[in-house]
Amino acid sequence: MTHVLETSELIYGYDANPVVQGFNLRVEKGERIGIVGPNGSGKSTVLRMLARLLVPRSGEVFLDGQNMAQIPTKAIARRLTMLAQSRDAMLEMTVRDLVRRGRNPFLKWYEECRGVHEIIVDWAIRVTGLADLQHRSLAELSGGERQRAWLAMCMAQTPTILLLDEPTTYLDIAHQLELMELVRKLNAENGVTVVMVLHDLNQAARYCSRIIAVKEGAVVRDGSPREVFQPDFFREVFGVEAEVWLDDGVPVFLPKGLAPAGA
Amino acid sequence: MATTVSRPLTANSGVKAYAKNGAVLIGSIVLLLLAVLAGLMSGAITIPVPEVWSALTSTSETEARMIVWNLRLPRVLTGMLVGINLSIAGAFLQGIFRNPLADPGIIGVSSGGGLAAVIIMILMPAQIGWLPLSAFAGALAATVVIYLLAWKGGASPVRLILAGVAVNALLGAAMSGLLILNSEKVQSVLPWLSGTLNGRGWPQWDTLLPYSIVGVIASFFLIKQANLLSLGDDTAIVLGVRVESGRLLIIVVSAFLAGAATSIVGMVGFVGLVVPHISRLLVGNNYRILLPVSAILGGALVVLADTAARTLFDPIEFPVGILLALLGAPFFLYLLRKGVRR
Repeated sequence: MTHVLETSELIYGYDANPVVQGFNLRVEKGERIGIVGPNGSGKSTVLRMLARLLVPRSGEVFLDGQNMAQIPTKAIARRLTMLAQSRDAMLEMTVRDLVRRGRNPFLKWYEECRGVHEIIVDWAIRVTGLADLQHRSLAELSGGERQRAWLAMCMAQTPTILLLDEPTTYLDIAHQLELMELVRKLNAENGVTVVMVLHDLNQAARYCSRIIAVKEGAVVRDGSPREVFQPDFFREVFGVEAEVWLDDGVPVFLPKGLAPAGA
Repeated sequence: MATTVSRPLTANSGVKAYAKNGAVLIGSIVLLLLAVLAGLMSGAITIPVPEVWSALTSTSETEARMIVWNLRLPRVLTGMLVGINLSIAGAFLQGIFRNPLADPGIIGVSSGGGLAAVIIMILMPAQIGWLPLSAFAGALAATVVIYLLAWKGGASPVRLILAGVAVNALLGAAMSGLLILNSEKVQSVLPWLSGTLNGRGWPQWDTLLPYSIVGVIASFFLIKQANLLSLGDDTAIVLGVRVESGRLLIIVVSAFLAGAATSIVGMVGFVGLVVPHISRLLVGNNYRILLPVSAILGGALVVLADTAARTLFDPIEFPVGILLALLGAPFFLYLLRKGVRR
């Protein structure tokens, strides 16, 4: 059985201390995966390799069973997209113009975004709740609205796989939840498979169907939030003592302090 | 209810932006035509509009025809091409480097072309006929060197800019060294160093025109690439753009356009830096409208500045490059402070 996304023994970085060492991952269609781990664990590096923003030193990424290194980049862009983290916050263009860029993988070099493509742009704008803001400039929007505009651009690619790199960083709590709800809706209603690097562990537990924990460039835990969120997980991976509670079946953790050194 | 009320409003604002960009485009074309007209009328002798018209349309060898057709028209048109070339190059480079300080100089066009030209003018004055070609070759060679130096599994904007600064410093030092060692000949080089249209006529227009046509046509094919690249490398890759080849193509076309202009008039600064900014303030970042508006405003600005340069200081022929900075800089600062926005 082929997986929508699969990696084999990804290695990245210099010989002496590779950032990612032998990363293996199998993503089933429709999953909502949260990759978590301490700073410098290599979780963002892994995500960037999945999006072909970084080329692994060795190992492969497979998209629907096909080696991604052998698929033309435009063909990849019709199936997989990523809400990247490094973006120009002051970009002066309208939301709709940005979303239109998402149709690029489907256009020949001489084609413009019109006809059926404009209908898909309409859909992407509607599904992200931006209809009233579509002619506003990105520079005038709040952080949360701007993040949704970039997500709308990704959705205009009609992706089967959506990667997100710490999508809630710099957002206030309401906009964080709004974005996570939107991602969950896109997953549930549009069948988009989601893989996201998340900083906030409680959000990861609440909004993901599966948690993958990374430490020193390798997977150290992989399972449902309830399976992964155990006190020893927080101690071994993050070096903190924590209590874990269940809220409506969703694990919630409360850090109590740093774990004693050498634990 | 709220949505049904706001729908037409938002649709309207899309149409409004369209209409505004159209108005700016038409406005800049009108400005260019007025600039050309002013360029044909003004000079040592002022020639009124009807005589300019008859000089352009009839072939009778009047004095007005001599001045307008043989002297002013080719100079005005050459200046227009220079402005168009430099502004397109600047608009492209600011976008793909995502840096507001980028101008054609950053890819070595000025310093490479400048050094080649200074070598010819100072060391081999007998070969002065080769000056345009040498300057053009020097400009492109500097761009190639900068690109190769910046390459490390890809040429990122930051590396390109840093390599550009270093190469520019080196070539600039070589140029200054040559000038200081041959200070008695500096006088003849100075106008070229600040960019001048003095004495440019039909031969220069004939030389520059084919390069400009090729470059402008090529640049229109790169509009989509430039739009995508200005979203940043990560986003462009995710959208299926082949970032390195796209960026290289745009750099090549920019160097070609700016190098051709430099080889004819010398190191005209400022146009390629400021005109794209002014255009951005007026019409935004979409290259489909930004590029034509930049080109037209650039043409108008150089023609206006050159007309002023040869009228205001008559009989001294003032280099247009100096006046461009003198006129353009305050205007640019004014626009920045006012913060013109769509």
